[in-house]
Amino acid sequence: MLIKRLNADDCEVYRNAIVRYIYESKNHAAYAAPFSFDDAEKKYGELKMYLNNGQAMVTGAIQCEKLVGFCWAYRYPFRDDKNRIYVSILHVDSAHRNRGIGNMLLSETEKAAAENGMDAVFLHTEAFNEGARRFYQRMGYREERIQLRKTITTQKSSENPAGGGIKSVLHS
Amino acid sequence: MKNIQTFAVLYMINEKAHFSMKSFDTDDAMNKMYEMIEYLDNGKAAVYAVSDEDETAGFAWVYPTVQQSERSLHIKALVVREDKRGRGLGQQLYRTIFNSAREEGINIIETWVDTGNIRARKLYDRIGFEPVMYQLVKKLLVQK
Repeated sequence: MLIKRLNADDCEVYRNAIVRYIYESKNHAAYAAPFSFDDAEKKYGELKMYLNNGQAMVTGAIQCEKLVGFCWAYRYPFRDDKNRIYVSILHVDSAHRNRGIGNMLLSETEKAAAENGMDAVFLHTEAFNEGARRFYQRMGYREERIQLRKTITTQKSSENPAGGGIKSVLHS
Repeated sequence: MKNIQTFAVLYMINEKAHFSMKSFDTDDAMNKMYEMIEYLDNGKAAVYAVSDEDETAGFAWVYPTVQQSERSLHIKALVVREDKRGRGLGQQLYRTIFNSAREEGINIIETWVDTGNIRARKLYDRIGFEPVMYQLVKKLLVQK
């Protein structure tokens, strides 16, 4: 198993695997928005562009000359913390899971981030994905923010919503 | 919006919880409010204020967005003055937001809350919000 930083040329070598992993990771979502193979191709184009202008950090796990997992991260500020790396995609081929590959990819990303003077790595994971949440907890990640969602009925509430005190601010 | 300063002060309360130290001041809050007004004028946001005893006690800033290809209403900020809490003013704001969403034909409301903001999380839980995504962070030992 080889864990290494990939440049744009390396990515071209593993292009098919990367596009497939982007596709799989985007489709593994709770509110399955239709994310097509074309969308994955477009995302791959973005990845190359960001690699070429030095904004992306792509790490690959290579076994028998095949890419079995990859991590795509980039610098992204959060609030007053400007020195953060955001993990956009961390994906391991389903046939190669539970072998610590995700751990190695993420550790390598963290190491590179620290070497570049970054002070934190952050990411988003879906609430339903309990396996991922356990994994990140083991890796030393802690919860920072929660995205909440409510589906409302289309029936208008019968109570007076304004209660006299609410006004809509329409004009400046 | 005449009393922009009132809103800026309220917005400061909202952001004080988010920005650890010095980094968010009155100027930042005023700039945010000018930004908000611009969105309002362009019809890209809605702002609701709630008053109590003829004083502005809180407000909510919302805008429509697309989440996982579904139209939803994002709550950007919702804040009630500290001394006006516990009177149901926040709930009034939520009901108003829900009804305005219905009028727009939107039936998903979405927002982010800090893990440490227990008070807000309890309220969201009570009114039926559920977690869909977690933001996780790991601080690195910086090599200097």
